[in-house]
Amino acid sequence: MRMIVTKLIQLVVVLLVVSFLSFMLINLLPGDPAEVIIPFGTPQARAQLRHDIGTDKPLPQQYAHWLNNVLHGNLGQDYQTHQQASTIIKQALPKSLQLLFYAEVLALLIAIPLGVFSAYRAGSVADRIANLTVFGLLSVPDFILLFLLTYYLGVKNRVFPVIYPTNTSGVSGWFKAWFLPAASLAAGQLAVYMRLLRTDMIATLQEDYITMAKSKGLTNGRILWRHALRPSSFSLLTATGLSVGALIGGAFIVEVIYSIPGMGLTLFNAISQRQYVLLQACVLVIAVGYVLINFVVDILYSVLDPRIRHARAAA
Amino acid sequence: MQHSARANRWSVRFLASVAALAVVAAACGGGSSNKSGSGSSGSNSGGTPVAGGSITYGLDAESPEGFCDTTAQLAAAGILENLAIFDTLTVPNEKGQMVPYLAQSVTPSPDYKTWTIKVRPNIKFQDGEPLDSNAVKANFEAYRKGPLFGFVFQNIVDERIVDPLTVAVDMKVPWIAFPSFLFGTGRVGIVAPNTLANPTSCSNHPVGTGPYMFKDWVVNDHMTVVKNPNYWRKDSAGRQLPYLDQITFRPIIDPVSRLNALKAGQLDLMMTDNGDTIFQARQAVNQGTLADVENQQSAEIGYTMLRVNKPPFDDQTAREAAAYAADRDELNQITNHGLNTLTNTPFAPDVFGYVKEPRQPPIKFDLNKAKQLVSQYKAAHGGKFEFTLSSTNDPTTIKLAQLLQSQWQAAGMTVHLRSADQGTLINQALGGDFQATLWRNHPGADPDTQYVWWHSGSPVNFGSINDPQIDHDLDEGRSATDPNTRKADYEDLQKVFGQKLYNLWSWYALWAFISKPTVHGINGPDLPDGGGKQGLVASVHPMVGLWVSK
Amino acid sequence: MPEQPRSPIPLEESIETGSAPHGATGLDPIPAVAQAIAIEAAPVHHGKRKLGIGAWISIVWLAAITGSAILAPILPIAPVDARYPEIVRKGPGTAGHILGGDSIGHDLFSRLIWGARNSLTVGVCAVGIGFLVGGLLGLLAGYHRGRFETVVVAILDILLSFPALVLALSLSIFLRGRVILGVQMTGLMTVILALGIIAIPAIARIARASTLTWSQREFVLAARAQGAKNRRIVFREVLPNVLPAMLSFACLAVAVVIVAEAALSIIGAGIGPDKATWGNIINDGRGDLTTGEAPHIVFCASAVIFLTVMSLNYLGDTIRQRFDVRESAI
Repeated sequence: MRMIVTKLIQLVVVLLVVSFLSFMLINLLPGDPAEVIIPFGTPQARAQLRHDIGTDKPLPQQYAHWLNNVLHGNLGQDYQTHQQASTIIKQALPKSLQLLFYAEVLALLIAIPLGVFSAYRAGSVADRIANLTVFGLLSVPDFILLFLLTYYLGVKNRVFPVIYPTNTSGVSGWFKAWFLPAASLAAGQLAVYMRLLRTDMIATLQEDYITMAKSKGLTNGRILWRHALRPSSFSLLTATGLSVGALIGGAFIVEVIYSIPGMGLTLFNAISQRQYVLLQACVLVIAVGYVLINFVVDILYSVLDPRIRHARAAA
Repeated sequence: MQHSARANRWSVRFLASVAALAVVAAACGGGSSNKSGSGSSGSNSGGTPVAGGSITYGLDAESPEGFCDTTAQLAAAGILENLAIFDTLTVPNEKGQMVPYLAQSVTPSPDYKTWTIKVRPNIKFQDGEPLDSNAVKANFEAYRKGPLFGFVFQNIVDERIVDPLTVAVDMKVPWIAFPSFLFGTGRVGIVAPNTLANPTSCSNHPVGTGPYMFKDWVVNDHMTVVKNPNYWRKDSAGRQLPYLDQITFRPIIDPVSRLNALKAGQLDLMMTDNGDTIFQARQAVNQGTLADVENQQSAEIGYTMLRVNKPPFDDQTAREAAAYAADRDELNQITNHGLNTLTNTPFAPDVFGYVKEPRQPPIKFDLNKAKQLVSQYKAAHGGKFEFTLSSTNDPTTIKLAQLLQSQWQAAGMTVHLRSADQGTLINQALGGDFQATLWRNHPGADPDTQYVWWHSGSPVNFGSINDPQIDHDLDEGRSATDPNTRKADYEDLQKVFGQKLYNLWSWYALWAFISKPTVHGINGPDLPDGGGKQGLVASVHPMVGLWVSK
Repeated sequence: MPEQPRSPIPLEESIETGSAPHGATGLDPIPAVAQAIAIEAAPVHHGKRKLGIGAWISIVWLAAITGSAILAPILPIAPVDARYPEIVRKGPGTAGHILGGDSIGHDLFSRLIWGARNSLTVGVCAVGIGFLVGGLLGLLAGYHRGRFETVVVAILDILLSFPALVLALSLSIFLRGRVILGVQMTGLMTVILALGIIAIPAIARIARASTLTWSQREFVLAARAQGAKNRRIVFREVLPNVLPAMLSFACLAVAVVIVAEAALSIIGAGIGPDKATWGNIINDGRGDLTTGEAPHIVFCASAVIFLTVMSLNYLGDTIRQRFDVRESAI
């Protein structure tokens, strides 16, 4: 419990710092932010902007003002689109979440059976082939995979859409629509997961209680799935959590190439079109999301994995 | 319209068309190649239009500033989207002459210092407001107040309401080509007066008199317009326009993805100016799987813009060296599959006063001559001939920049490259922070629309051209009532450019609208007063005539 | 049978195991850097296992690619900017040009080697920055503990709380063209610095975790008891044992940075559009892949990236395994 309280305090501090850094993004721009953000704006628009971000006030005061707005859900207005940054992000975030949900599920669906199997058959030819294959997958950048998949499965053979379709019909339509980008992202993830699971599983299978279970005559399947998998999946859980956090906005190359209007594309456009208020909002949301997910994973991990508890006790 | 000024649009595409992904180019001279014609090919006729259906239109960019014609910087994509929602007072016909559109007539006084605009009766904006002289006046005020159009309409002193449908516009100096500016490359749409006061709602919920009504916009995802059931136009057979129920515009930045999506059936229609894409599309057109309409009418010019008041290009020798060293045929071949037509003048052949070869003899790629000029320059300037070439950061333009760099270096110059997003590039141009930059601009058929780009003292005369002869030609061309005087002025202007090489012209930008074979009507229906269809101008085509065959 | 928790393992094996995949994801690559790797400290046992064929292939490939990158200026290959109009989009096997030409007529083989020069420079320098700064921070934090450690860990946590690729992109935008310490940032420096900065926390974390375990070992305690100076203990006793873990991670990190550099190039935020880098080559060739006119451009560059990343991953793995007691067959 004390650990959780300490972690919570840490979390708040980290969030404050992260928000301050996001806030500073605009102040770090060279020159007058008002000129940089709306280079062709009217004097009135610039005055409005200066007032909005309060460049005339001292920095701490600006930050407090901004933070107060953020806490009230006001991430600022984008001076180009005249839309609220929060509106744009509300539209973009679900797209990114769908993509990474799909990718993670796809990766786990393949990685878990493969990891369990190759740990069980560690050292066998099949294990080596599986290892080599995922090793290969690990080394293919996602964008290269997407180029190739799009060309062969989208253009040459029209199996899947080649850009994100605005409208999808039905469940199968949804699965098809997101398949290519999700698969491109999943390939590398599944390699990581499989290897992680395999390593932990091999260690688990060496434990005394597994030997005991074997001697009791339990079937291999039962031992693997019921007794060995769960204690072996903590690293996997952590890795999944972290990569979910990292992929919010971090999958921007895939989003740009596949025209997915998610956080990544929004971020990319915000940078290339100098929508700094939007950029700031995106960075804030992505970073805060990432911090929160890390926090949850951290807590879960310590709660679930006895090793950490024991280690902490020992320390 | 009584006045028969030649067509055009004017160009405060400032951040608009200029901003439409600047291209490059190089020197003068050389013959033109290839004959990818202007106007249309492919699927445009397709029989009798039928009503109904909807299409998805792939654009090359998002319009981050929204859709308020009076205030937004719009690139080519945004202009197309806005043409679904807004109508302009005039439009060009296929001959490039300006004809009234929302206006019933646009009439000059004998001295061209007052223009009288009368709008058609019984037209309503999509929110129910009437289109009347108050609305027109409010729009003029909004355009003149805005940062984009303020200096383009600087010549306007005042606009007066004459009667409920008529506005008179008073000028400082006679303005012959004013009707062209009313079209403004499709850019000067008439916006519902109620929305003008609030820039946010004007940007995010545009209301006009156009064929389609704004439905929704999800940034970076799509913008949807639906049929305006009360649209004021019928086609020549009496059918209500527009034909389609809905158009969904999708910004797909990546040209490769865009064509892939069209081929895979996810798009019905797309725009592109990318040579590779057009080349691929033509192969599909030949196989009958796609159709395309290509346009070079009133085209923009791709060129290398030079900063002529700073070294090295303040020196005529340096400019000539760069011109002779650039092998435009090779550039065109490699970056555009040779599709673009080279030019030695900033005007397209349909522009009033066009001169094919303003410099005699025309400059042709000549490496030896270039080397000689380079050493001549170096001898006079401490042995150095070094500069930075700026460009946008899209892959095709970068390829072009690299090629030019290698050609110029082969002649002995030292060339650095710098690339940035379009917005930054325009900022740099405005601030004079460049030596040479790959650019694209100057669409339209009336040369007067180029006034602001080349006149000394203009804030958007990026290259700081300060040539009394050019100023004289531009000033006289704007106001001279005798067409022959105007013609002579603009011919002279091109000759000055030819001699002084202030910019190194490359080629006409080629725009293609590629579609499924079932999509028709890219050139629009016949004009409301007859006389054929609307003329295409660079990347601008009307939205009102699109239809799909079953 | 009730599921039993795994028996508690000694402290030194537990630290930081949580946070981590073993390597470059190749996907969103940087986060993999940001996630510390599971490295369990174990006594160094030298030369027990021979290097397998895979490791040798990796070493040979990396040696070849590094060697040719370093020697590019004196190798008998086409100059980096030389263009041959006759080989534009020509495939492998063109006379005098083994791999043919790219879309504007550069010799693809030469371009890939010059690209290796840039890509490896970025990879090695960025990780070098991470190694120096992060390694030192981690080492000192792990050894000295106390307030210094708290501060360092807090800073690392904050750096790690930005998704790495997002941070890299933002940094590369904000650093570009700036004058820092009197130096005008070129594209190359910008990318190196941006990727270097995001490599720091991950490397520091590993160094610290590893140091924590080693500084509790008998021989370190003994050295301390004998009154050895801290600096001596850190660099003579702890560092040599921490190094394998860091080295293993460094291999993976270089791979990740190479992919990240390519990714930045593809979206136009790389070291410069005219520079030969693997990412630029792929980006240039994309259109020609789709037309089917010259798919070899993307294929060749992808293959080179693939082999390099795979070799680095494999080598990193091998190093890790050699100092890792945990992984062994049942």
